[in-house]
Amino acid sequence: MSKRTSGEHEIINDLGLHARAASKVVKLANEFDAEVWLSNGSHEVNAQSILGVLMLACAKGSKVSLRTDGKQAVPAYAAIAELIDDGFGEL
Amino acid sequence: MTSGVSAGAGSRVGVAVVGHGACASALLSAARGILGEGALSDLVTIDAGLGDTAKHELAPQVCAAIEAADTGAGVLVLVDLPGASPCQCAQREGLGHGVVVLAGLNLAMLLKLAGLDRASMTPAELAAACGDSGQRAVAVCSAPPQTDHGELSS
Repeated sequence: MSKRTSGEHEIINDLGLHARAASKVVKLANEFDAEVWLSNGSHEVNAQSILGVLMLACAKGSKVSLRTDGKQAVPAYAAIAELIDDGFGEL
Repeated sequence: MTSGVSAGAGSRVGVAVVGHGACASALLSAARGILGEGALSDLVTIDAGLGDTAKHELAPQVCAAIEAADTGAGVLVLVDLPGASPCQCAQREGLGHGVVVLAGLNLAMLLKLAGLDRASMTPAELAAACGDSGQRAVAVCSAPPQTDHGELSS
């Protein structure tokens, strides 16, 4: 059964959503059977693509909307939200 | 030795990266810095032009790199500049190896490549996907990143 989850999270690490952080998001997003989307304002991208995530150009203080859809939408949301809230392990 | 793109199971498209100066190995190193050290571990790189590599020295190196990268599913060669020696050399040496040459090498291409399944795609399909990412990564980014839900102008 397909599920959906969405919510907003603030980027709290100093470097923002930079390349290595984006790489972590993508790796994690690809571990789940779910579509994962991130948006910064009206610009939404597939979180399974590093370039897409980088294109969001999120600095510290940005609020990103995380949206997951699919069989594992709930655990995917939880894992990625935790990664963002944890400052990508850089705090 | 020739090899098509419809090779047997288990093989995947090999990738060689050829560029002027140290850009091939430096970009691969940068990609690994972002993705993790184990990423793109099978890529073969050639730093052309270091120590004044003449065309006749580059050709056998490119030929050897293509041979090394070719496991039966064809080879994708990424080069920095279209029409320059690494590109021409790859085109020439790649004849008969199922080689596709993609010029305009950049970091986004390598990051994209790392996420693609090279066992189920042809060199041409890989080139198209990497080329698309590589082009999308060329952008004028003058304005500072938005922190307040502003729109990104792309």
